[in-house]
Amino acid sequence: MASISLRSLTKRFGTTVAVNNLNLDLEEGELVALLGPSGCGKTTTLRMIAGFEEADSGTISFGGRDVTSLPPERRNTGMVFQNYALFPHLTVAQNVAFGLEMRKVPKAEIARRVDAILDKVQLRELADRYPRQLSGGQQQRTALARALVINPSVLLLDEPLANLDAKLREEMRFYIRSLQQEFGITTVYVTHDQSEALVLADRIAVMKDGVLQQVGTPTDIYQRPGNAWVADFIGLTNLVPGVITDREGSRVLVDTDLGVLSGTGSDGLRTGDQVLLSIRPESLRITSGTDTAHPGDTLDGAERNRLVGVVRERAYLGNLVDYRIEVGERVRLRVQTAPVPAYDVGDRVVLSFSDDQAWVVSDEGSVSRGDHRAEAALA
Amino acid sequence: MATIAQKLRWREGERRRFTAQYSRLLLILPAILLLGVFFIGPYLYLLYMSFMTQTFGAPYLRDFTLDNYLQTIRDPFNWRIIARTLRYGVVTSLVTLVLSYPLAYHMARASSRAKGLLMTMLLAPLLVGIVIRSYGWMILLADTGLINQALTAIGIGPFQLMYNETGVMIGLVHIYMPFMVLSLAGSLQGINPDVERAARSLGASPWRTFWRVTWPLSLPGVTSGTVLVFVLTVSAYIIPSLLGGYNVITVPLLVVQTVSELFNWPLGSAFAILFFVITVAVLAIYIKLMGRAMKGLS
Repeated sequence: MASISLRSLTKRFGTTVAVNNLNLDLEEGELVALLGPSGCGKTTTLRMIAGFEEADSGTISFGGRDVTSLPPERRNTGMVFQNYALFPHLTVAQNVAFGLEMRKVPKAEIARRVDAILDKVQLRELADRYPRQLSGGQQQRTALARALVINPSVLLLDEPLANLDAKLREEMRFYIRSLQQEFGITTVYVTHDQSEALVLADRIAVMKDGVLQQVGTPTDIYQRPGNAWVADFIGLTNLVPGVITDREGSRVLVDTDLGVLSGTGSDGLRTGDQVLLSIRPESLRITSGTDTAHPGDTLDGAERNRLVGVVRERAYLGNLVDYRIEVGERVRLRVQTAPVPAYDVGDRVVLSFSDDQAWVVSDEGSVSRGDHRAEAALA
Repeated sequence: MATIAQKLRWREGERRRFTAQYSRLLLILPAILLLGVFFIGPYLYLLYMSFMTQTFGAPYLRDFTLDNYLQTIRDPFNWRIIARTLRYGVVTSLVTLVLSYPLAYHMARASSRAKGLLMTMLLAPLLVGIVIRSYGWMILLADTGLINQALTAIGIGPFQLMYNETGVMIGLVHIYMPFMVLSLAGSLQGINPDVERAARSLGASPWRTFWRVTWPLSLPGVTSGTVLVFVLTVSAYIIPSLLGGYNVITVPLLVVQTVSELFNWPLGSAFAILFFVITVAVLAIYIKLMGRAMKGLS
């Protein structure tokens, strides 16, 4: 068990920068998900931590011990691969025993520890099977057992659930989380699946184009995205562009095509900044409209953040209904709400949201993408 | 009416199944014919001839006898030649294996472009016939050949590199190496690189990773490669005759001599059949042993 510290980690492949000056700290026992689209550098980062790729610059340390120049076999990491990478010529028990044999653990102790871990992952009856005789879930558990039995300093998981079917994937999330907490092992979890990251992680590190965009708790990342790209990448959101006209503490007034709306923003934003207002589809409340109000009208009174609109599309999702509501010229907002009461296409409705549900982010990220780097909001 | 229609439909289905079966059979027919006419047929004829009596003016006299086998088995010289031929087979297989493995590994892990280039380089020599390549080696290996000239120039040698075992081995290894590389590369390519990474992360040094993971997983390729090279080597005729200069006698050379110089077709046939049986037995044992080593691989 050890903390992990990545300092100014950089890796280039030819002319492309796979990982660009990455700084990340994991506390002991913490599970951090590296989240991003494919090619964002998350797997390269994991491979550098494991020692399969050499960093061009920067340092990696486990519990204060610099491991940057150590080969993988001397880093004491437990790694689970997307394809599990079980040894096809060895049985489940032999697979699990491999790491202990390499550590020259006495035979009797190997047998005891292998039995114990196989009990834990409920594979004891299958100990003499070969990997090809196992289901995907069983292979996955074998891979976990093999990685955990050596008492690694850190656990590294590379898209461990990507090859499982949807239902099993959901179950395994909780299983992996509970195993990780039971062992109290510092874990880096690479995934492109945001719901996996939200469920599993203590903190999420969002990456794009080799650059860390934001690090924070799942709530932080979801409710207070650091920039427009993160807001757009995580979950669904409506992004409404505008200019800050006034701010009072964390409350920000933004002048948009839909009128002046109020939201919440981080400290860095100033009056006059070009911003985006990010409103999640589930944060918008929908009520019946009056016949006199028209799209684009802003309702009078103290209540801000009320928009009149017309339902243009609706899609039934079972537990939710997904509406596209026209609230202004060529401006449609996506709203997800309970199926009852139902609104039909063409209905006049009023949308409203509270200002703490509308997060204001700088527009910079989406305009000058690439060299922009949001300050990571460290939790 | 309906029943007739049903019947017709049923017949249609049956007809399709029938054609499907036969057209598949038709596809393998050329191969079966080729094997039958040019391989199994001659072998059966050889077997038949090996039980006939030697005569002059004809290949054999139609008179059943076991003498050819008895004569072959009783002659200790034959056993020495058999042992030597098998030894060449084993040594050539091992040497090609050791030389080919690193190349095959590199090919299996190379980018597809580099792979194509290496493959071309590997296969290009096959465009030149064995005879030509053997003569090529003779130019290099002769007492006054290029290699010995170079060695003499720097003050060592000359060595006898040809018309002895060394020359034959060099030729055999060179000619059969592509077959080994291809067998190994196919097998090595099938090994998921993550499996090797997993071994490293579990504490295995590169060396231990090789012996505990890569090597056992490549055994199918090792088996097919060594079997192929062994079979090709023990049946090689041109290379031992050209580079061995009849100082190095192997079973194929002896069989040809018996037939074409002693005109003893039945004796030559018996020797050939005996050696065939021995080779098959050796391979059967070898493949069985390798099969046991590969228990976990399906």
